[in-house]
Amino acid sequence: MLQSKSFLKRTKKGNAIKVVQEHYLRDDIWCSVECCKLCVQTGPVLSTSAMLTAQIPRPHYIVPDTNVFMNQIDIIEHPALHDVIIMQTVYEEIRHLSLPIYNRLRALINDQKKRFYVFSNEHHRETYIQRLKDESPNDRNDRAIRSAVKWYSTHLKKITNKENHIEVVLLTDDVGNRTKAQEEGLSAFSVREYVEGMTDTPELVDILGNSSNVEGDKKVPYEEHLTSSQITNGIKNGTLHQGTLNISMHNYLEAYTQIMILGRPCLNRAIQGDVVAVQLLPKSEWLRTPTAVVVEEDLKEDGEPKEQNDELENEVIESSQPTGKIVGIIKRNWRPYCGFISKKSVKSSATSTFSENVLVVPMDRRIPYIYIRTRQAQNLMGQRILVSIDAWPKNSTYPQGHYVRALGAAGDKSTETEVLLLEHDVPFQEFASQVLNGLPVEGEAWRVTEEHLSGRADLRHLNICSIDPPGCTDIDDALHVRPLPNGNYEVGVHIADVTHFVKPFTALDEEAANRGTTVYLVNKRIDMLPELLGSNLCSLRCNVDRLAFSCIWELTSDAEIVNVNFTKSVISSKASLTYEEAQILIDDTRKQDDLTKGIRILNQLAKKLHKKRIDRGAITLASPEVRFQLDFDSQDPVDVEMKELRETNALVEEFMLLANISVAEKIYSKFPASSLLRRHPPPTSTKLEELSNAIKPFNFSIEFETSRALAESLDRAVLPDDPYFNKLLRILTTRCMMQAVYFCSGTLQFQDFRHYGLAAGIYTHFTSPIRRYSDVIVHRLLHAAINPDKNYGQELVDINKMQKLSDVLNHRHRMAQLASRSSVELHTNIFFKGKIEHNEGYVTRVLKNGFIVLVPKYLFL
Amino acid sequence: MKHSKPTERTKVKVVLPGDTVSLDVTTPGITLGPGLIQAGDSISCTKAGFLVRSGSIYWVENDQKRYIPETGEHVVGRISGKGGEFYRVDIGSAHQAILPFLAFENATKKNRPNLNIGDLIYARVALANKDMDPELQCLNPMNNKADGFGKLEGGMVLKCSLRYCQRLLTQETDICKLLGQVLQFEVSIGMNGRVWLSSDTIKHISLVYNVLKQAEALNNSECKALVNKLAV
Amino acid sequence: MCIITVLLILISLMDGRRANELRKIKCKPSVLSQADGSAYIEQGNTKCLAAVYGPRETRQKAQLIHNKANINVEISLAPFSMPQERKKRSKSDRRLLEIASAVKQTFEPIIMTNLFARSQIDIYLQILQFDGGTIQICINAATLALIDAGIPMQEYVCACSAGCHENHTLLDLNNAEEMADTPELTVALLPMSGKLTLLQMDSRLHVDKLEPVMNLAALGCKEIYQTLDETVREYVKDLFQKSSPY
Repeated sequence: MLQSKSFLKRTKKGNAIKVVQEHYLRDDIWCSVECCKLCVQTGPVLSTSAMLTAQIPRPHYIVPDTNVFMNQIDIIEHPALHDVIIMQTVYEEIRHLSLPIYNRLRALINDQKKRFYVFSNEHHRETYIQRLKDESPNDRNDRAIRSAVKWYSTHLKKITNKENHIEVVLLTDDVGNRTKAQEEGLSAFSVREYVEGMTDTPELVDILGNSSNVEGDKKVPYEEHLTSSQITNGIKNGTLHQGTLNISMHNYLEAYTQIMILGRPCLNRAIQGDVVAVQLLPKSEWLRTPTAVVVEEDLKEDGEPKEQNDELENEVIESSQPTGKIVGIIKRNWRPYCGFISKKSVKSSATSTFSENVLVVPMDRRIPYIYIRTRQAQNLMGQRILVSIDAWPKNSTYPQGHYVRALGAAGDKSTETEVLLLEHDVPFQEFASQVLNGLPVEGEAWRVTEEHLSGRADLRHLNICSIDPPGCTDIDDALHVRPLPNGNYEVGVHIADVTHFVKPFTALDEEAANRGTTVYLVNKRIDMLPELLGSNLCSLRCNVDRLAFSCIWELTSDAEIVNVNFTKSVISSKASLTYEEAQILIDDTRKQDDLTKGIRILNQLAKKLHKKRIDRGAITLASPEVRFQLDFDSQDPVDVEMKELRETNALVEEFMLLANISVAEKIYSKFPASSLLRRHPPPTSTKLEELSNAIKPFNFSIEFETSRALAESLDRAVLPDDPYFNKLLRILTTRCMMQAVYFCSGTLQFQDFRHYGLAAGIYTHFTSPIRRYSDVIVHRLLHAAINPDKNYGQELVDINKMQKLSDVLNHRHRMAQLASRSSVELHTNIFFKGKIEHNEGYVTRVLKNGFIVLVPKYLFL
Repeated sequence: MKHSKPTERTKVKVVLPGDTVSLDVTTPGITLGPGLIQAGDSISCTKAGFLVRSGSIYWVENDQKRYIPETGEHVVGRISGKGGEFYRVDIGSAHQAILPFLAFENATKKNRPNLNIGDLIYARVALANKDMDPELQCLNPMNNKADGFGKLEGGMVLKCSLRYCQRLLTQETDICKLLGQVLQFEVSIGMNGRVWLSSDTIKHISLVYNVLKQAEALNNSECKALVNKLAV
Repeated sequence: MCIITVLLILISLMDGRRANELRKIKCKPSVLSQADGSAYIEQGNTKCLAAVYGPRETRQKAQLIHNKANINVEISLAPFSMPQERKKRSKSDRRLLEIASAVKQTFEPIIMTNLFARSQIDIYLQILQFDGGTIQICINAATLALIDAGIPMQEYVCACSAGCHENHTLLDLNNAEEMADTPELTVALLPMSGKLTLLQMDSRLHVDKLEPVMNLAALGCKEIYQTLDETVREYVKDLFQKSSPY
């Protein structure tokens, strides 16, 4: 190995901080071309069977510049493109410019089929260049890329002969860069030129980023955005406010950061989720539209949007709510959007193959329409398509984007399911082969062997059983109880030992961390772990030996905890019951076997635990769920029913809560700074006050200082003649609640750890590691906590990483909830398709031009 | 003088602390000088420098500046204090040396030498032990005569490396002889990295000082050239 | 701010080193004429000047040890040493004192202090430019200066740091790498006998990682040893050649 002795210093300046770094140039960086004999290399990436297109009929490698990645990442991701050299210059620029694109790029580099190679041109002795005097950093980087391309082309000449000669092609949309490259004798193309040359895959042209300037209508001229330095200064001196834009679900022209923003000119090209800089309007202009539903935006016949500003101004009334306008965008948060092509905007005839501009209506009502340019407008009509936004020039009413791919016909169930998964950012692809490689090699034949017993308690002799909903294949938890000689009970909760299979830093672990949670849709389940683990090896099925993490208490007959013990174990469940079966066992007095007796004892203890919890002030909230009877063949919903709640549901729940609390205490005692816990903040007063005012006419009120007060006031609010009233109130109260969130214990004070809803001082998730990643982490923490000799990595004690992880998990959790809700909504819509039903309902909210009704039978809004 | 008749010295090799030297410890008459220690059967170095051999004596020669007193060595010192029965003398070692009033030629309890703080003396190390302050004497123990020891009048002191002093003493570097052919001067060379020199005029003193200082980094032929240049 | 991204080819994006490569080392003994021994050393952008005085009389009677020499180490960080901020640090800065005591502990068993009873050996270290790896550079500079001063040592010491970032072991961390929350382990070795005299780490590291990190640091020490050894031998040879009488 040669270590280059050339040695340079690099000085970066910015924010008046000077960083002096060494910069080593080396001569042992390999080109990574398969057939290269000159470079000493391991694992070459680039194949000799490189790209071939109609335009460039010789094999060649592609070198895209930074902007190509930034604007055309969808093209790069297309399977037709492979054997790409990414210059380090480009790689680093992308890392600074956009994290999402950087992550996609990382995924591409890791994908062996794509054959992407990162060439460290900045550290290569022959390709490194220094910035010249008066040269801008961008020009310098362009030159660096060209210098590396030049090196490659001479290098490739050396290592290949005439017949199998390979070329390098620079892809750049910068005309200046292209001419300079051509002057230096390099082949350079714009992405459009290149893609048009790929005649085998014509759809690529549609995917091209829409950077051409569409002639915008001048009716809604947007204001110029401020520069980033102006924004930073503005925020620093308080004239501007930073916030994440949140557009109202009911009115796409109404948005909030902490400040209300109204109307398209004030929104100034910001899109849902963007981090924006807001300037407050003078107090005289503080406005408010009466809450109105503006769901559909009307299009005039010619596809141009109707002028709506006049109406808007007529309707506004003065208010004290601070109103502002967006003056700059700090960070775009664009993602690919699902939508469909607006019929009215398509002007071409059915046979036309010319490309034209059409409007795409995104599924998410908060997203504005998007202009795309496509040749296949006619084909795509009536389909759900995925589009990306490229830019939003100030003279265009709507942003400009490009087509990514078609998802399928609108209204089709699988298409719509994919749409809702995409819209909720749920990773639903099949598990990659790297991930599946992490599974035990034995596959289904994996068995518990003697070696697994070391360090584990052997609990196979115990009468353990699991109680789950019918059809459940991923059984995370099982229970047992046995009376102790001193009259107390030993109660055990056994949780699937997922961490035995999912070790940190493996592809499997990373994938699970990214998925965060299993997503349950009405007709589908998106697993967090591969099926082999989730439904078989980890799942605590009956009559097979399984590895478990056990939490065993000694409880008095009054369900007081005497002590608690945690251990890894091997168990063998004696029965997998459904809630219903378990209920029948409890009720059937003829059954007197040990298992049944055990369940009865558990039931008694659970009731006591429940009572204690209620006495502590836990709230019984209602978030009833509907259940669809699906037609076996078509999977169409044929009936809707409420999920039934039985005593046994509560039985399992009580012990799971107990286990979670015990585990939370344990891991917090060992890792006070880096435990992954779950908290539920108390509700904010405004929403509950509104609700409280609304029920005043019935002489009830809601108190919410403590969860106990809230629980009691909810208990009081019973209308004898309307049994549903109390339930309705509970549903509405649930909606006023804050979301429970994961957090890292080091980031908050202990008093903020409280779980308001459960009235617990400390809480975490331990009991469902098969379907929640948080539980996997908690398992690792607990294992490290009970085993002083256990080796554990930095990842368990790093507060920042833990907090980042909990942010990701919160996001995934929230999205999973929304996705399953959307799935229910979708099926409800399918169910009601062409049906007329009469049912009683409650009006829950009145808007200016509509109202929202809750129908108890279908829980439909 | 001690090193007046040096046996043939050979430079064996460059050594660094920790290096082991392949010498047979059982060789009769083998003597280890400074910089070498015996650990079991092997000998290892504790200093960086050249391993030098003279007969069966081995030691490490280096460019040390700090003096470590050794019995019998001659030193140039400066009176730094006065006690009831002795002077304190700075000889550049870790501790101040003691020079008893009686360690002078013809000194008695009544007849004390008259030295003041700041005076320079040329003395012999009478006693050197790592646990005690070194003791000096200004007489030759063989004959109880002054023999050139005692107060140094006038002149000035040159501080140099210990090895240079040795070279001057052994006339390995014969600059003194060469210079003596050009002009008259007096010199007392201490083993402690101090050389006292004097001549008739201030100009000559500073000339001698500069020549000696420069000669530290010169070999003999260069010394000759330097002196020749002066002579012209 | 800075994250070490180790690419597939294991070249750090920070400066182009591989994970198991040292930064460039430059060293020069005997740079100060006043001190009994001195040395200047650069490891990458960390630069350190060392001066050794002694054995000499103890300054304070309290520090006197009747049967061996007392080693006194003082470290100061030049106000201009950090490019980010210009700040004067007092000598009693807790961090510097800690490093000084680590250096002292490293050398106490190595220097043959019993030869110089009741005296004191002063080691002054001045960090001229800071870019991570303070302890290791202090030890390396002090070693060179002690050799230059001719103070008898059993063997000389080399030190090197290594760390672990996102499951990759890294050698010789620079400041930015240290800042990226990397546990850093400093190892000081007697390169010839392979004995360990210092093992220091301030943060937490997985036990499984300790051994690879330690081995890497030890390899680094050996490499540093070679550089120092070459330099000193060259220096000694040069010195004797220059002043040879013949």
